[in-house]
Amino acid sequence: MATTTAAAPGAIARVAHEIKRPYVQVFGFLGLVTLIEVQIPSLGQTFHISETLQVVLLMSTAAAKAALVALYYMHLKYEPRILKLLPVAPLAFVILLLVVLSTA
Amino acid sequence: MEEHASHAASAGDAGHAEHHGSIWPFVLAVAGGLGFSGLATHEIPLILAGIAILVVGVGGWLWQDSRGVSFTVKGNYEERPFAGISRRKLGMWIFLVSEIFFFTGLIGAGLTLRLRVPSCPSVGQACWPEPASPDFPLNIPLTAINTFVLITSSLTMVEALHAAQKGNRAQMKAFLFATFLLGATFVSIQVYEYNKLFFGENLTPWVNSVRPELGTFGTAFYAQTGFHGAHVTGGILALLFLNVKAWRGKYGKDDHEAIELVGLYWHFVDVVWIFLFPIMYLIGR
Repeated sequence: MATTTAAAPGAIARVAHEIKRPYVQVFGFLGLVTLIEVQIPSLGQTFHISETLQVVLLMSTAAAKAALVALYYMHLKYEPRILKLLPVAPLAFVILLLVVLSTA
Repeated sequence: MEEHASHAASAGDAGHAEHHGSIWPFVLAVAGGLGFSGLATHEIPLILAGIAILVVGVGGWLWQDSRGVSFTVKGNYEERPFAGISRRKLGMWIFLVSEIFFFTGLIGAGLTLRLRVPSCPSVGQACWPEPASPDFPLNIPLTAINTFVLITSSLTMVEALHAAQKGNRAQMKAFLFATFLLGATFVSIQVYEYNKLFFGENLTPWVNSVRPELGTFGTAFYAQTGFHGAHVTGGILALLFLNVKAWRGKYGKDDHEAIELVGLYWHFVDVVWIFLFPIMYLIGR
């Protein structure tokens, strides 16, 4: 198998595999944030938090959770830059589509 | 078959694609084309034909794999900008990018529907129920538990890969089996919830005579959570495949890419749910 050219990124990934990663800590964060998320609608009603602020809060926590899953569980943190960029590239389309649909 | 296997191996070693011989990806593509055409046109025979060809395609692929035939092109890319990256991993990531587009379109369509109706209650017209209101049809505590189940399955999946990388096969098999069980639990709870919603809350994907005002919400809810559930079901089948092969002695320190690739898909499905759960269950109109 010809893998001699530019083996460095793969080698970095392999070395990173040897380190025990913070999988359990990430799991704890995901669980804790989900617990908080579930309380937001009732807290919003009790403390009269505006719906816009609730949406911003919930989407921010969701984005933080998704980023942690992508970085640690999907190992993007340890991958070469080009692979990190690959799933980020469609985000421009995602934002554009959501803006167009919500304003159409 | 042996010839095919060796042909595939030599094509992989050469590092460039000759033809790889397997007909099953093409059969699956035909199944998808027919099935989705049927869904779009409401033609039941087309949908059934799509499902039947899907079963044949998956069955044929698994049968071929069970006989040791593989057309996989292994190894790393040599050319920039992907030099040094596994071909299969790059293929999975490109597939996941296409899935981002798919779910963005689906969630965007849900957003469009949401913005075109008022909040419930709204007499005589379609409306969007508020999560904190007593009339909200969805079961938030049950689905929060289900969310924990899916998050936990992501942990067990990544631990299965880690165990394989360390060469601890017993731990790897245990974590793979736990992931499979947790995935099956998620889908089972979703089926239970659908049953309660459909028959108990009269929440249907179409306008019904009992709660006609929830027709728009029902369409958005079942379309988004249903497609996600279908993806989880696909992941469970992939996990079943991994489990069977692991118990037959496959995978370990030097052979764990399949676990990594299925893991990437499984975590992606988790990411989709991380967004879908607040969007459908916690955010109102």
